[in-house]
Amino acid sequence: MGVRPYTVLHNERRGPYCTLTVGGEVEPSEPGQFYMVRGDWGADPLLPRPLSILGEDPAAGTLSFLLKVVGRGSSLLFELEPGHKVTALGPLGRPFPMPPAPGGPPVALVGGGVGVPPLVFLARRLAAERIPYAFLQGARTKDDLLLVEDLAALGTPPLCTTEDGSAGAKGLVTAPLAVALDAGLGAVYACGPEGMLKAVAGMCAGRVPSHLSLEARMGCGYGVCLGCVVPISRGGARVYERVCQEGPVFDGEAVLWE
Amino acid sequence: MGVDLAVTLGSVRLNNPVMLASGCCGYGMDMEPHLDLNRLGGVCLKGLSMAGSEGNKPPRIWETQGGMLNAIGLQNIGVSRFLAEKAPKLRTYGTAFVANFYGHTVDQYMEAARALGEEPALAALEMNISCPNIQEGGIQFGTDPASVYKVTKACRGATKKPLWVKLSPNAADVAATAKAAQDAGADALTCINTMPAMAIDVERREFRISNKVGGLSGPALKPIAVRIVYQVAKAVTIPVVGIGGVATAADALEFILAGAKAVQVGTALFVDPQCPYAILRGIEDYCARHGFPSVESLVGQVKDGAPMPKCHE
Repeated sequence: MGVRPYTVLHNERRGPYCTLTVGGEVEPSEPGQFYMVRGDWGADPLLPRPLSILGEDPAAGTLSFLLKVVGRGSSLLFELEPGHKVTALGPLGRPFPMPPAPGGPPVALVGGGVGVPPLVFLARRLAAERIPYAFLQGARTKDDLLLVEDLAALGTPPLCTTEDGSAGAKGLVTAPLAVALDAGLGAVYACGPEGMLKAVAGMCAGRVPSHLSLEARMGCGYGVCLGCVVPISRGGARVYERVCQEGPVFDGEAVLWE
Repeated sequence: MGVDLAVTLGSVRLNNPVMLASGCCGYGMDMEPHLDLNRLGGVCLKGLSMAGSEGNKPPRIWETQGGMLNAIGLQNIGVSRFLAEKAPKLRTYGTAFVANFYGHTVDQYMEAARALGEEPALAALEMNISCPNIQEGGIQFGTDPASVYKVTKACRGATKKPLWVKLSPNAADVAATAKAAQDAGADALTCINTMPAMAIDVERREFRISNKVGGLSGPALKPIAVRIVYQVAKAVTIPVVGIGGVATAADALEFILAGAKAVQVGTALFVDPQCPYAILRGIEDYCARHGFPSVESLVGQVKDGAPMPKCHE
Protein backbone atom coordinates (compact mmCIF):
# COMPACT_ATOMS: atom_id res chain seq x y z
CA MET A 1 0.00 0.00 0.00
CA GLY A 2 1.49 3.32 -0.96
CA VAL A 3 0.33 6.90 -0.76
CA ARG A 4 -2.66 7.40 -3.06
CA PRO A 5 -3.82 10.56 -4.82
CA TYR A 6 -7.28 11.96 -4.02
CA THR A 7 -9.29 14.93 -5.21
CA VAL A 8 -11.23 17.13 -2.81
CA LEU A 9 -14.97 16.77 -3.49
CA HIS A 10 -16.32 19.04 -0.74
CA ASN A 11 -15.00 20.83 2.27
CA GLU A 12 -17.83 21.99 4.51
CA ARG A 13 -16.75 24.45 7.17
CA ARG A 14 -18.48 25.35 10.40
CA GLY A 15 -16.57 27.58 12.82
CA PRO A 16 -13.11 26.08 13.28
CA TYR A 17 -14.33 22.67 12.05
CA CYS A 18 -14.49 21.26 8.54
CA THR A 19 -15.73 18.05 6.99
CA LEU A 20 -13.40 17.15 4.17
CA THR A 21 -14.57 14.65 1.57
CA VAL A 22 -12.16 13.32 -1.02
CA GLY A 23 -12.53 10.96 -3.97
CA GLY A 24 -10.18 8.31 -5.31
CA GLU A 25 -9.33 4.67 -4.79
CA VAL A 26 -10.63 3.69 -1.33
CA GLU A 27 -9.80 0.46 0.46
CA PRO A 28 -12.46 -0.74 2.92
CA SER A 29 -11.71 0.37 6.46
CA GLU A 30 -13.00 -0.15 9.99
CA PRO A 31 -14.13 2.43 12.55
CA GLY A 32 -11.16 3.70 14.56
CA GLN A 33 -8.71 3.51 11.67
CA PHE A 34 -7.08 6.59 10.21
CA TYR A 35 -5.29 8.00 7.19
CA MET A 36 -2.13 10.10 6.96
CA VAL A 37 -3.31 13.04 4.84
CA ARG A 38 -1.32 15.76 3.16
CA GLY A 39 -2.04 18.49 0.62
CA ASP A 40 0.05 19.32 -2.39
CA TRP A 41 1.98 22.13 -0.66
CA GLY A 42 5.68 21.33 -1.05
CA ALA A 43 8.07 20.63 1.81
CA ASP A 44 6.47 22.80 4.50
CA PRO A 45 4.72 21.59 6.54
CA LEU A 46 6.52 18.38 5.82
CA LEU A 47 4.62 15.60 7.53
CA PRO A 48 1.16 14.30 6.67
CA ARG A 49 -1.55 14.65 9.34
CA PRO A 50 -3.24 11.69 10.99
CA LEU A 51 -7.03 11.99 10.51
CA SER A 52 -9.53 9.44 11.77
CA ILE A 53 -12.05 8.23 9.29
CA LEU A 54 -15.50 9.80 9.63
CA GLY A 55 -16.97 7.84 6.78
CA GLU A 56 -16.06 5.87 3.70
CA ASP A 57 -17.70 4.44 0.61
CA PRO A 58 -15.24 2.16 -1.15
CA ALA A 59 -17.72 1.48 -3.98
CA ALA A 60 -18.17 5.17 -4.71
CA GLY A 61 -14.50 5.88 -3.94
CA THR A 62 -15.08 8.50 -1.24
CA LEU A 63 -13.58 9.15 2.16
CA SER A 64 -14.46 11.79 4.70
CA PHE A 65 -12.75 13.31 7.69
CA LEU A 66 -13.71 15.93 10.23
CA LEU A 67 -11.00 18.14 11.60
CA LYS A 68 -10.49 21.25 13.66
CA VAL A 69 -7.97 23.98 12.92
CA VAL A 70 -5.19 23.74 15.50
CA GLY A 71 -2.00 24.56 13.62
CA ARG A 72 -0.50 25.13 10.20
CA GLY A 73 -1.18 21.68 8.75
CA SER A 74 -4.82 21.66 9.80
CA SER A 75 -5.30 25.27 8.57
CA LEU A 76 -4.07 24.24 5.14
CA LEU A 77 -6.42 21.26 5.12
CA PHE A 78 -9.26 23.56 6.26
CA GLU A 79 -8.60 25.85 3.29
CA LEU A 80 -8.75 23.08 0.66
CA GLU A 81 -11.34 23.65 -2.08
CA PRO A 82 -13.11 21.17 -4.36
CA GLY A 83 -10.73 20.05 -7.09
CA HIS A 84 -7.60 20.42 -4.95
CA LYS A 85 -5.31 17.40 -4.76
CA VAL A 86 -4.35 15.60 -1.58
CA THR A 87 -2.43 12.41 -0.92
CA ALA A 88 -3.32 9.90 1.75
CA LEU A 89 -1.89 6.68 3.14
CA GLY A 90 -4.31 4.27 4.73
CA PRO A 91 -6.40 2.85 6.21
CA LEU A 92 -3.95 2.51 9.10
CA GLY A 93 -4.06 1.35 12.71
CA ARG A 94 -6.06 -1.12 14.77
CA PRO A 95 -9.79 -0.41 14.74
CA PHE A 96 -12.37 -0.56 17.56
CA PRO A 97 -13.25 -4.19 18.28
CA MET A 98 -16.89 -4.66 17.28
CA PRO A 99 -19.20 -5.85 20.07
CA PRO A 100 -20.53 -9.38 19.73
CA ALA A 101 -23.71 -9.88 17.69
CA PRO A 102 -27.03 -8.25 18.73
CA GLY A 103 -28.73 -9.52 21.84
CA GLY A 104 -26.11 -8.44 24.38
CA PRO A 105 -26.31 -5.35 26.58
CA PRO A 106 -26.04 -1.97 24.82
CA VAL A 107 -22.68 -0.25 24.42
CA ALA A 108 -21.84 3.41 24.99
CA LEU A 109 -19.90 5.64 22.64
CA VAL A 110 -18.34 8.59 24.43
CA GLY A 111 -16.95 11.40 22.31
CA GLY A 112 -15.44 14.77 23.10
CA GLY A 113 -14.44 17.41 20.57
CA VAL A 114 -12.64 16.09 17.49
CA GLY A 115 -12.78 12.65 19.10
CA VAL A 116 -16.35 12.39 17.80
CA PRO A 117 -15.74 11.46 14.10
CA PRO A 118 -14.44 7.87 14.52
CA LEU A 119 -17.33 7.18 16.88
CA VAL A 120 -19.81 8.41 14.28
CA PHE A 121 -18.29 5.91 11.86
CA LEU A 122 -18.69 3.24 14.58
CA ALA A 123 -22.29 4.30 15.29
CA ARG A 124 -23.10 3.88 11.60
CA ARG A 125 -21.75 0.29 11.71
CA LEU A 126 -23.59 -0.50 14.92
CA ALA A 127 -26.85 0.87 13.52
CA ALA A 128 -26.40 -1.23 10.37
CA GLU A 129 -25.89 -4.34 12.48
CA ARG A 130 -28.77 -3.42 14.83
CA ILE A 131 -26.52 -3.38 17.88
CA PRO A 132 -28.05 -1.04 20.49
CA TYR A 133 -25.87 1.87 21.63
CA ALA A 134 -26.00 5.18 23.44
CA PHE A 135 -24.00 8.07 22.00
CA LEU A 136 -22.75 10.50 24.65
CA GLN A 137 -21.14 13.65 23.40
CA GLY A 138 -19.42 16.30 25.50
CA ALA A 139 -18.35 19.72 24.27
CA ARG A 140 -17.33 23.09 25.63
CA THR A 141 -20.25 24.96 24.05
CA LYS A 142 -23.12 24.18 21.67
CA ASP A 143 -20.94 25.37 18.77
CA ASP A 144 -18.51 22.56 19.53
CA LEU A 145 -21.12 19.79 19.32
CA LEU A 146 -20.44 17.83 16.15
CA LEU A 147 -22.55 15.85 13.69
CA VAL A 148 -25.62 15.87 15.95
CA GLU A 149 -28.06 15.66 12.99
CA ASP A 150 -26.07 12.86 11.33
CA LEU A 151 -26.20 10.87 14.54
CA ALA A 152 -29.92 11.50 15.00
CA ALA A 153 -30.51 10.32 11.42
CA LEU A 154 -29.08 6.92 12.40
CA GLY A 155 -31.99 6.48 14.80
CA THR A 156 -30.20 7.18 18.08
CA PRO A 157 -29.93 10.90 18.87
CA PRO A 158 -26.83 11.72 20.90
CA LEU A 159 -27.09 12.64 24.55
CA CYS A 160 -25.15 15.90 24.75
CA THR A 161 -23.47 17.79 27.55
CA THR A 162 -21.79 21.19 27.37
CA GLU A 163 -19.49 22.78 29.89
CA ASP A 164 -21.34 26.11 29.69
CA GLY A 165 -24.83 24.61 29.52
CA SER A 166 -25.54 26.18 26.11
CA ALA A 167 -26.97 22.85 24.88
CA GLY A 168 -27.90 19.60 26.59
CA ALA A 169 -27.10 19.08 30.25
CA LYS A 170 -24.55 21.40 31.81
CA GLY A 171 -21.41 19.57 32.86
CA LEU A 172 -19.15 16.82 31.65
CA VAL A 173 -19.96 13.79 29.54
CA THR A 174 -18.89 11.53 32.41
CA ALA A 175 -22.19 12.31 34.22
CA PRO A 176 -24.46 10.55 31.69
CA LEU A 177 -21.82 7.81 31.38
CA ALA A 178 -22.14 7.09 35.12
CA VAL A 179 -25.90 6.70 34.68
CA ALA A 180 -25.46 4.41 31.66
CA LEU A 181 -22.91 2.27 33.49
CA ASP A 182 -25.31 1.79 36.38
CA ALA A 183 -28.06 0.77 33.94
CA GLY A 184 -25.71 -1.86 32.45
CA LEU A 185 -23.39 -1.68 29.45
CA GLY A 186 -21.51 -4.28 27.41
CA ALA A 187 -18.57 -2.03 26.57
CA VAL A 188 -17.56 1.61 26.30
CA TYR A 189 -15.90 3.16 23.25
CA ALA A 190 -14.30 6.56 23.70
CA CYS A 191 -12.31 9.15 21.83
CA GLY A 192 -11.53 12.69 22.91
CA PRO A 193 -9.27 14.78 25.15
CA GLU A 194 -6.88 12.92 27.43
CA GLY A 195 -8.65 14.06 30.62
CA MET A 196 -11.93 12.64 29.37
CA LEU A 197 -10.34 9.35 28.31
CA LYS A 198 -8.61 8.95 31.64
CA ALA A 199 -11.89 9.54 33.48
CA VAL A 200 -13.72 7.07 31.23
CA ALA A 201 -11.04 4.42 31.77
CA GLY A 202 -11.27 4.93 35.54
CA MET A 203 -15.07 4.64 35.58
CA CYS A 204 -15.05 1.48 33.48
CA ALA A 205 -12.16 -0.28 35.22
CA GLY A 206 -13.27 -3.58 36.72
CA ARG A 207 -16.83 -3.12 35.40
CA VAL A 208 -16.86 -3.17 31.59
CA PRO A 209 -14.22 -3.18 28.87
CA SER A 210 -13.30 0.29 27.61
CA HIS A 211 -11.81 0.82 24.16
CA LEU A 212 -10.05 4.17 23.93
CA SER A 213 -8.79 5.77 20.75
CA LEU A 214 -5.67 7.79 21.65
CA GLU A 215 -4.10 10.72 19.86
CA ALA A 216 -0.39 11.41 19.46
CA ARG A 217 1.93 13.43 17.30
CA MET A 218 2.89 11.14 14.47
CA GLY A 219 5.78 11.05 12.06
CA CYS A 220 5.11 8.17 9.70
CA GLY A 221 1.74 6.72 10.78
CA TYR A 222 2.76 3.18 9.78
CA GLY A 223 4.98 1.99 12.58
CA VAL A 224 8.56 2.81 11.66
CA CYS A 225 9.51 6.13 13.28
CA LEU A 226 8.51 5.29 16.89
CA GLY A 227 7.52 8.93 17.37
CA CYS A 228 3.95 8.33 18.62
CA VAL A 229 4.49 5.89 21.49
CA VAL A 230 2.49 5.85 24.71
CA PRO A 231 3.21 3.91 27.92
CA ILE A 232 1.11 0.77 28.15
CA SER A 233 0.95 -2.03 30.70
CA ARG A 234 1.44 -5.33 28.89
CA GLY A 235 1.69 -8.58 30.85
CA GLY A 236 2.58 -6.61 33.97
CA ALA A 237 5.43 -4.72 32.28
CA ARG A 238 5.46 -1.06 31.30
CA VAL A 239 6.21 -0.80 27.58
CA TYR A 240 6.00 1.89 24.94
CA GLU A 241 3.52 1.00 22.20
CA ARG A 242 2.88 2.85 18.95
CA VAL A 243 -0.40 4.72 18.68
CA CYS A 244 -0.23 4.18 14.89
CA GLN A 245 0.33 0.43 14.99
CA GLU A 246 -0.73 -1.23 18.26
CA GLY A 247 -3.33 1.58 18.52
CA PRO A 248 -4.88 4.01 18.09
CA VAL A 249 -7.45 1.92 19.99
CA PHE A 250 -6.17 0.60 23.31
CA ASP A 251 -7.81 -1.29 26.16
CA GLY A 252 -8.52 1.41 28.76
CA GLU A 253 -7.16 -0.74 31.61
CA ALA A 254 -3.79 -1.11 29.86
CA VAL A 255 -3.15 2.61 29.29
CA LEU A 256 -0.75 4.13 31.82
CA TRP A 257 -1.59 7.78 32.42
CA GLU A 258 1.76 9.41 33.18
CA MET B 1 21.64 0.75 -23.55
CA GLY B 2 20.45 0.80 -19.95
CA VAL B 3 22.22 2.67 -17.19
CA ASP B 4 24.25 0.49 -14.81
CA LEU B 5 22.77 1.36 -11.43
CA ALA B 6 24.94 -0.92 -9.29
CA VAL B 7 27.46 0.66 -6.95
CA THR B 8 30.28 -0.96 -5.02
CA LEU B 9 31.24 0.20 -1.53
CA GLY B 10 34.38 -1.73 -0.71
CA SER B 11 33.32 -5.37 -0.70
CA VAL B 12 29.60 -4.52 -0.61
CA ARG B 13 27.80 -4.41 -3.93
CA LEU B 14 24.45 -2.63 -4.01
CA ASN B 15 22.03 -3.24 -6.88
CA ASN B 16 21.40 0.49 -6.95
CA PRO B 17 22.42 3.53 -4.91
CA VAL B 18 19.12 4.05 -3.03
CA MET B 19 19.02 2.81 0.54
CA LEU B 20 16.66 3.29 3.48
CA ALA B 21 18.09 5.15 6.47
CA SER B 22 18.40 3.68 9.92
CA GLY B 23 15.59 4.64 12.27
CA CYS B 24 13.15 5.28 9.44
CA CYS B 25 12.31 1.74 8.34
CA GLY B 26 12.19 -0.36 11.52
CA TYR B 27 13.80 -3.77 11.10
CA GLY B 28 13.20 -3.83 7.36
CA MET B 29 10.09 -6.00 7.24
CA ASP B 30 8.12 -3.17 8.85
CA MET B 31 8.22 -1.46 5.43
CA GLU B 32 6.83 -4.53 3.65
CA PRO B 33 3.19 -3.44 3.38
CA HIS B 34 4.32 -0.26 1.64
CA LEU B 35 7.55 -0.99 -0.19
CA ASP B 36 9.25 -3.88 -2.00
CA LEU B 37 12.63 -4.07 -0.27
CA ASN B 38 14.12 -6.03 -3.17
CA ARG B 39 13.87 -2.97 -5.40
CA LEU B 40 16.21 -1.03 -3.10
CA GLY B 41 19.98 -0.93 -3.05
CA GLY B 42 20.03 -1.54 0.68
CA VAL B 43 18.28 -1.11 4.00
CA CYS B 44 19.90 0.24 7.19
CA LEU B 45 18.06 -1.20 10.15
CA LYS B 46 17.00 0.51 13.39
CA GLY B 47 19.98 1.18 15.69
CA LEU B 48 20.64 -1.78 17.99
CA SER B 49 22.41 -2.04 21.32
CA MET B 50 23.31 -5.12 23.34
CA ALA B 51 20.80 -4.39 26.09
CA GLY B 52 18.08 -2.83 23.92
CA SER B 53 16.34 0.33 25.03
CA GLU B 54 12.82 1.50 25.77
CA GLY B 55 13.69 4.88 24.28
CA ASN B 56 12.84 8.36 25.52
CA LYS B 57 9.70 9.58 27.20
CA PRO B 58 7.16 11.11 24.79
CA PRO B 59 6.67 13.58 23.18
CA ARG B 60 9.47 12.44 20.93
CA ILE B 61 8.93 14.38 17.72
CA TRP B 62 8.17 17.90 16.61
CA GLU B 63 7.77 19.29 13.12
CA THR B 64 9.89 22.31 12.21
CA GLN B 65 10.12 24.41 9.07
CA GLY B 66 10.98 22.00 6.26
CA GLY B 67 11.98 19.29 8.68
CA MET B 68 11.40 17.59 12.00
CA LEU B 69 13.09 17.05 15.33
CA ASN B 70 13.18 13.62 16.87
CA ALA B 71 14.43 12.24 20.13
CA ILE B 72 13.27 8.65 19.93
CA GLY B 73 16.22 7.63 22.10
CA LEU B 74 17.13 4.58 20.00
CA GLN B 75 14.25 2.42 21.25
CA ASN B 76 15.26 -1.08 20.15
CA ILE B 77 14.76 -4.74 21.00
CA GLY B 78 18.45 -5.46 21.59
CA VAL B 79 20.96 -7.47 19.57
CA SER B 80 20.00 -10.96 20.78
CA ARG B 81 16.28 -10.55 20.16
CA PHE B 82 17.08 -9.02 16.75
CA LEU B 83 19.25 -12.01 15.84
CA ALA B 84 16.66 -14.50 17.07
CA GLU B 85 13.44 -12.89 15.85
CA LYS B 86 14.20 -10.57 12.95
CA ALA B 87 17.44 -11.57 11.22
CA PRO B 88 16.29 -15.03 10.00
CA LYS B 89 13.49 -13.35 8.03
CA LEU B 90 15.96 -11.01 6.35
CA ARG B 91 18.00 -13.86 4.85
CA THR B 92 15.59 -14.44 1.98
CA TYR B 93 15.77 -10.95 0.48
CA GLY B 94 17.81 -9.77 -2.49
CA THR B 95 18.80 -6.45 -0.96
CA ALA B 96 21.75 -5.49 1.24
CA PHE B 97 20.82 -5.19 4.92
CA VAL B 98 23.08 -3.06 7.08
CA ALA B 99 22.75 -3.31 10.87
CA ASN B 100 23.15 0.02 12.63
CA PHE B 101 24.50 -0.39 16.17
CA TYR B 102 25.61 1.66 19.16
CA GLY B 103 26.80 1.35 22.74
CA HIS B 104 27.36 3.50 25.80
CA THR B 105 30.98 2.31 26.19
CA VAL B 106 33.65 1.10 23.77
CA ASP B 107 33.18 -2.44 25.14
CA GLN B 108 29.46 -2.33 24.39
CA TYR B 109 30.18 -1.18 20.84
CA MET B 110 32.60 -4.10 20.44
CA GLU B 111 30.17 -6.64 21.86
CA ALA B 112 27.44 -5.50 19.48
CA ALA B 113 29.80 -5.56 16.49
CA ARG B 114 30.98 -9.05 17.41
CA ALA B 115 27.47 -10.46 17.82
CA LEU B 116 26.01 -8.84 14.70
CA GLY B 117 29.13 -9.78 12.70
CA GLU B 118 28.12 -13.45 12.82
CA GLU B 119 24.76 -12.88 11.12
CA PRO B 120 24.74 -13.98 7.44
CA ALA B 121 21.71 -11.79 6.60
CA LEU B 122 23.81 -8.66 7.12
CA ALA B 123 25.93 -7.20 4.32
CA ALA B 124 27.62 -4.66 6.60
CA LEU B 125 27.49 -3.00 10.00
CA GLU B 126 26.93 0.73 10.43
CA MET B 127 28.42 2.09 13.63
CA ASN B 128 26.36 4.92 15.09
CA ILE B 129 28.67 7.35 16.85
CA SER B 130 26.43 10.31 16.19
CA CYS B 131 23.06 9.90 17.88
CA PRO B 132 22.20 13.19 19.58
CA ASN B 133 19.50 11.64 21.78
CA ILE B 134 21.03 9.23 24.23
CA GLN B 135 22.57 10.16 27.53
CA GLU B 136 25.94 8.46 27.13
CA GLY B 137 27.62 7.14 24.04
CA GLY B 138 26.43 8.09 20.61
CA ILE B 139 27.46 11.58 19.71
CA GLN B 140 30.15 11.89 22.38
CA PHE B 141 32.17 9.31 20.47
CA GLY B 142 31.55 11.03 17.15
CA THR B 143 32.72 14.59 17.59
CA ASP B 144 36.36 14.10 18.54
CA PRO B 145 38.78 12.42 16.07
CA ALA B 146 40.69 10.59 18.83
CA SER B 147 37.58 8.90 20.21
CA VAL B 148 36.29 8.16 16.70
CA TYR B 149 39.60 6.39 16.06
CA LYS B 150 39.43 4.47 19.33
CA VAL B 151 35.88 3.13 18.96
CA THR B 152 36.28 2.38 15.24
CA LYS B 153 39.55 0.51 15.86
CA ALA B 154 37.91 -1.52 18.62
CA CYS B 155 34.98 -2.54 16.44
CA ARG B 156 37.26 -3.19 13.48
CA GLY B 157 38.98 -5.81 15.57
CA ALA B 158 35.66 -7.32 16.67
CA THR B 159 34.17 -8.19 13.28
CA LYS B 160 35.14 -9.20 9.76
CA LYS B 161 31.97 -7.64 8.31
CA PRO B 162 32.36 -4.43 6.34
CA LEU B 163 32.26 -1.63 8.92
CA TRP B 164 30.60 1.67 8.05
CA VAL B 165 30.83 4.63 10.41
CA LYS B 166 27.94 7.10 10.59
CA LEU B 167 29.36 10.55 11.28
CA SER B 168 27.91 13.49 13.17
CA PRO B 169 27.51 16.90 11.54
CA ASN B 170 28.28 18.33 14.96
CA ALA B 171 32.06 17.82 14.87
CA ALA B 172 34.18 20.96 14.61
CA ASP B 173 36.11 19.31 11.76
CA VAL B 174 34.08 16.52 10.14
CA ALA B 175 36.90 15.75 7.68
CA ALA B 176 39.16 15.01 10.65
CA THR B 177 36.64 12.59 12.19
CA ALA B 178 36.25 11.00 8.74
CA LYS B 179 40.01 10.50 8.43
CA ALA B 180 40.19 9.09 11.94
CA ALA B 181 37.52 6.51 11.06
CA GLN B 182 39.33 5.62 7.84
CA ASP B 183 42.68 5.30 9.62
CA ALA B 184 41.09 2.98 12.17
CA GLY B 185 39.89 0.64 9.43
CA ALA B 186 36.37 1.78 8.46
CA ASP B 187 35.20 0.48 5.07
CA ALA B 188 32.78 3.32 4.35
CA LEU B 189 31.39 6.47 5.95
CA THR B 190 27.75 7.47 6.24
CA CYS B 191 27.35 11.26 6.24
CA ILE B 192 25.41 12.53 8.16
CA ASN B 193 23.34 11.81 11.22
CA THR B 194 20.76 14.37 12.38
CA MET B 195 21.87 17.76 13.71
CA PRO B 196 21.24 18.44 17.42
CA ALA B 197 18.45 21.02 17.54
CA MET B 198 15.72 22.44 19.77
CA ALA B 199 12.21 23.91 19.65
CA ILE B 200 10.23 25.69 22.36
CA ASP B 201 6.48 26.21 22.80
CA VAL B 202 6.47 29.91 23.73
CA GLU B 203 2.88 29.97 25.06
CA ARG B 204 3.59 27.21 27.56
CA ARG B 205 7.31 28.03 27.92
CA GLU B 206 8.03 24.32 27.47
CA PHE B 207 10.32 22.32 25.23
CA ARG B 208 8.51 20.71 22.32
CA ILE B 209 10.05 17.33 23.00
CA SER B 210 10.73 15.74 26.37
CA ASN B 211 14.45 15.27 25.68
CA LYS B 212 14.78 19.06 25.06
CA VAL B 213 17.32 18.34 22.29
CA GLY B 214 16.34 16.35 19.22
CA GLY B 215 17.93 15.56 15.91
CA LEU B 216 16.93 17.76 12.96
CA SER B 217 16.18 15.82 9.78
CA GLY B 218 14.39 16.41 6.49
CA PRO B 219 14.85 18.94 3.68
CA ALA B 220 16.09 21.61 6.13
CA LEU B 221 19.17 19.49 6.84
CA LYS B 222 20.11 18.77 3.22
CA PRO B 223 22.47 21.65 2.35
CA ILE B 224 24.56 20.93 5.45
CA ALA B 225 24.71 17.26 4.54
CA VAL B 226 25.72 17.93 0.92
CA ARG B 227 28.55 20.19 2.11
CA ILE B 228 29.81 17.56 4.55
CA VAL B 229 29.63 14.76 1.96
CA TYR B 230 31.72 16.92 -0.37
CA GLN B 231 34.32 17.69 2.31
CA VAL B 232 34.52 14.10 3.53
CA ALA B 233 34.73 12.61 0.02
CA LYS B 234 37.68 14.93 -0.63
CA ALA B 235 39.36 13.94 2.62
CA VAL B 236 39.16 10.13 2.43
CA THR B 237 39.60 7.33 -0.13
CA ILE B 238 36.91 5.00 1.26
CA PRO B 239 33.35 5.30 -0.11
CA VAL B 240 30.91 7.83 1.31
CA VAL B 241 27.15 7.26 1.69
CA GLY B 242 25.14 10.49 1.63
CA ILE B 243 22.16 11.10 3.89
CA GLY B 244 20.26 14.16 5.07
CA GLY B 245 16.99 15.36 3.57
CA VAL B 246 16.94 13.18 0.47
CA ALA B 247 13.36 13.24 -0.83
CA THR B 248 13.71 13.48 -4.62
CA ALA B 249 16.03 12.30 -7.38
CA ALA B 250 17.47 15.81 -7.58
CA ASP B 251 18.37 15.63 -3.88
CA ALA B 252 20.04 12.25 -4.36
CA LEU B 253 21.94 13.53 -7.39
CA GLU B 254 23.33 16.44 -5.38
CA PHE B 255 24.84 13.95 -2.94
CA ILE B 256 26.20 11.72 -5.71
CA LEU B 257 27.74 14.68 -7.56
CA ALA B 258 29.28 15.83 -4.26
CA GLY B 259 30.97 12.44 -3.93
CA ALA B 260 28.50 9.95 -2.39
CA LYS B 261 28.37 6.47 -3.93
CA ALA B 262 24.95 5.79 -2.45
CA VAL B 263 22.26 7.71 -0.60
CA GLN B 264 19.96 6.91 2.29
CA VAL B 265 16.36 8.07 2.41
CA GLY B 266 14.93 8.71 5.86
CA THR B 267 12.37 11.33 6.84
CA ALA B 268 10.95 11.43 3.28
CA LEU B 269 9.61 7.90 3.88
CA PHE B 270 7.21 9.39 6.43
CA VAL B 271 5.74 11.57 3.70
CA ASP B 272 5.66 8.80 1.09
CA PRO B 273 6.97 5.31 1.86
CA GLN B 274 7.35 4.63 -1.86
CA CYS B 275 9.45 7.70 -2.66
CA PRO B 276 12.59 5.54 -3.16
CA TYR B 277 11.06 4.25 -6.41
CA ALA B 278 10.77 7.75 -7.88
CA ILE B 279 14.23 8.68 -6.62
CA LEU B 280 15.77 5.66 -8.34
CA ARG B 281 13.87 6.24 -11.57
CA GLY B 282 14.97 9.89 -11.58
CA ILE B 283 18.64 8.96 -11.08
CA GLU B 284 18.43 6.51 -13.98
CA ASP B 285 16.75 9.10 -16.25
CA TYR B 286 19.37 11.69 -15.33
CA CYS B 287 22.27 9.36 -16.18
CA ALA B 288 20.67 8.50 -19.52
CA ARG B 289 19.94 12.16 -20.31
CA HIS B 290 23.46 13.32 -19.46
CA GLY B 291 25.28 10.39 -21.08
CA PHE B 292 26.58 8.72 -17.94
CA PRO B 293 26.70 4.94 -18.53
CA SER B 294 26.55 4.15 -14.82
CA VAL B 295 25.87 5.68 -11.44
CA GLU B 296 29.51 4.97 -10.53
CA SER B 297 30.65 7.21 -13.39
CA LEU B 298 28.62 10.08 -11.92
CA VAL B 299 30.07 9.98 -8.40
CA GLY B 300 31.88 13.21 -7.49
CA GLN B 301 31.30 14.72 -10.93
CA VAL B 302 30.34 18.22 -9.76
CA LYS B 303 32.43 20.69 -11.83
CA ASP B 304 35.00 21.39 -9.19
CA GLY B 305 37.09 24.33 -10.49
CA ALA B 306 38.92 26.28 -7.82
CA PRO B 307 39.30 24.77 -4.35
CA MET B 308 36.92 25.82 -1.56
CA PRO B 309 38.10 28.84 0.40
CA LYS B 310 40.47 27.68 3.14
CA CYS B 311 38.19 28.82 5.94
CA HIS B 312 35.49 26.34 4.83
CA GLU B 313 37.68 23.29 4.49
